[in-house]
Amino acid sequence: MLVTARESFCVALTRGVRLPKWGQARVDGKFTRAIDLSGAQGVIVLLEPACGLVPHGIRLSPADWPRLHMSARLGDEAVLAADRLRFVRSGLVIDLTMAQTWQARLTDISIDWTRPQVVRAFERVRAQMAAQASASPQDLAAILFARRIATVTPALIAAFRRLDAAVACEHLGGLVGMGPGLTPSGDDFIIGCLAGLTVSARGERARLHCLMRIAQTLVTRLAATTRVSRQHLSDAFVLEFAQPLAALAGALANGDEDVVEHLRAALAVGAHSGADAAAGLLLALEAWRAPDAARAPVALLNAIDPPRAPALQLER
Amino acid sequence: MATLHKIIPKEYRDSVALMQLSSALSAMPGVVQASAVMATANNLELLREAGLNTDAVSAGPSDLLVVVQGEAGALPAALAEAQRRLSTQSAVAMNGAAEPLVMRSLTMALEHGPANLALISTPGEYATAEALKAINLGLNVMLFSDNVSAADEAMLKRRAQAKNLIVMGPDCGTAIINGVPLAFANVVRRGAIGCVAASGTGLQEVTSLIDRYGQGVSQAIGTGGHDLSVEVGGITMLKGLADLAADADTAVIVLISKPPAAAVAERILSAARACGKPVVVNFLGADDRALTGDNIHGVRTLEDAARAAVALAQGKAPSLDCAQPSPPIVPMRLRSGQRYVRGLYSGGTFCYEATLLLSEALDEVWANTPAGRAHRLEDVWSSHGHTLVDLGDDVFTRGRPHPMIDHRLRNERILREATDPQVAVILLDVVLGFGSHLDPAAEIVPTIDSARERAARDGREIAFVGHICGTQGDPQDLQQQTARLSRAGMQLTQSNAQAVRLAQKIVTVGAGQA
Repeated sequence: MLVTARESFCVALTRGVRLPKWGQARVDGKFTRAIDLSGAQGVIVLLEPACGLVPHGIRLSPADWPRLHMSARLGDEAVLAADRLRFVRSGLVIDLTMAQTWQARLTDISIDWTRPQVVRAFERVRAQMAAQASASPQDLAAILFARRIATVTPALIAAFRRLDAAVACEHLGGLVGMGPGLTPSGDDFIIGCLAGLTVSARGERARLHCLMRIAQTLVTRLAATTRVSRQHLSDAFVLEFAQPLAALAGALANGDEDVVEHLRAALAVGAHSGADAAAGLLLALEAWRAPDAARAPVALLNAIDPPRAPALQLER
Repeated sequence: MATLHKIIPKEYRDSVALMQLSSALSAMPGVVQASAVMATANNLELLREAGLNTDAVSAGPSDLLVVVQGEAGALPAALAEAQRRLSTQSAVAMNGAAEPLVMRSLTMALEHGPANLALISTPGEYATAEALKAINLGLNVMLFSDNVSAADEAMLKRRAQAKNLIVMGPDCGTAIINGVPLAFANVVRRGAIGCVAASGTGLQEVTSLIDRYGQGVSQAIGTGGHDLSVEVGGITMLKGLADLAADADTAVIVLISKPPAAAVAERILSAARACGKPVVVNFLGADDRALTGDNIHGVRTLEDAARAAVALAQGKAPSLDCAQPSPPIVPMRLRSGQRYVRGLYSGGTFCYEATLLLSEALDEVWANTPAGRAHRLEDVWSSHGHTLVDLGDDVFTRGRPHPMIDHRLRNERILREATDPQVAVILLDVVLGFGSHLDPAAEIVPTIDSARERAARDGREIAFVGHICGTQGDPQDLQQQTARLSRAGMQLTQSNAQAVRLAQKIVTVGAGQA
């Protein structure tokens, strides 16, 4: 069965507009709203149409998602070649030649705390998060994780403020793979932190170096978490973030009036993931709220060696 | 206290499934806490620090770890239950949708037997297409799905109208067709009263009360909440009204809705006047006396609608003011500062009706779905003054099951309200029937006990007031639910309206003066 390409297809790819040379993979996770394909080079997430985009995600059209979801089974072999994703057993082919590409561009955004609307937006989001956290039913792992976060937070904020990447990594590294969920809460929290630091860097040389050192150090800890989470962390280490989180970070940085709507969309991701990422985002924004190091152009970011994350190798 | 664990190698479940598994295991007898996590090194360390020694040295980040803690004798059964649940899910994932046989299309379903109604429950974006297919196949539609646009709703309903079919919904959660309860509905006896409602829990309340008052229901037709908007024009309510007017088994008709747009209301009322049968109209919040005339009997509350319909079905004239008095207050010691009602509802229409009634009588009423004189509650997570919260609202159900199914969120809120020294009454609804929690008393009673203990530590008492929406035929056993909730000290009334009046009386008259 050939699924015809439609404009509503979207592909979110890291730093590239073409599909990766990817070869063979297998369905190794089938969920209500996503199907994970794992290959030698990483994970690609096939998403239902209503999902926010994620790096290395392919969002299907409303007409085609049900066909894929109904036919796919764990272990099914899939081949991605020549812009077509073919499922061997079912014969389903997804034609991606007309797929649109998407990329979160948080590096283009800088938060400006001198603007009153930015402060107001931050306070609104923080109040909503505090209320939500106090009301959320949690299981044992969530409670234990929350206790750990509460212990780590003061030292982590202090390390961020001192631009002490080594100490920050000690604390963040202890969170890799920790907590409930297929993407454990600690990983989501770290991703949120990285998003917050990205929009808070504001082109300042010292902050950018700190951010990149954190990413370069944490990339060595990837083996400590789940396969899917490794991919999301790898993307975050090259400053690629999922759409709902990126939109929330952008709305906070701009002081948008509808920031709470973006928060709701972010919180709707997974059972814990959205909330954990938002918590990390707020912590990082708060930590770098105070002005410090000398400014440097944002372009400097590109001059710093990217971390060697085991992300997908993409055609350029 | 013992701890037991199980490792399931290379097992991936999404976060929601893991959360549900943890929750289900925690609720098992003898289990104090349970967790299902990926067996990463940091999680193992976290669990060890918490005294849950897993000894899971061979597990890795791709393995699923289930840990249960509690009475030693109860833990093997908990782990077996975990395995059973995971195996069931695995079978579905491994086999796709091939086994057991799943009807993959309406056409395929029709090939397996005759039908004249399709119940559609898909994500909103697919719902319109599926409903269209059903209409084209000559089927009536119950559209459980929400997130369907008003334009699509109007289009679907007009298409159905042209084929003399009915579309119940979108967002239609309750119906009883030819005696069969569909979605969230109660087991009611069959009889001569037909209902058409733009409110799910409103329809459940009226049909359940009709059953309790000894009469029965011919058909209960849901319209969906937007049917009486200007865009849709009440197509389904008009169709339902016409069908019930033509139905030989229906002697009395009940219409239930929030107040419709004026033009739509006039169209509905004209059709009702011309239908040739007595019609009870409950447009919640509208002036009931202005509605009354000829064969139309306007009423203020859901309970009044049921009473009026029963009277008419018995050939009696309904009282124009058939509001029932609330039951007497159970004496208790309230402190002078305890003066507020906190209503925590699982049913949206119950909350709306309570807000209307309470705000008529009291100032400082706040609600997340305001009505009458009530103010909008900006921060829905915290209460002040008299606060009524619809916990089935989207903001509360994101990532969680509806509070009619999962009581945890409401239980947490009850415990928080109990610590507020200004709270005198906690007002609750308990909804029985298909789709709802199978043993709500088991969820609510321990919470009431804990809340009372917390208040008692501060030298306070709190009145728990509520009503059960359900019938003797419901799967939850109404009698047993009533007995257990009453034993826990909950003051139960016959209807939502009575519960609200009792709560109001407690805070105005004072329980000690009863």
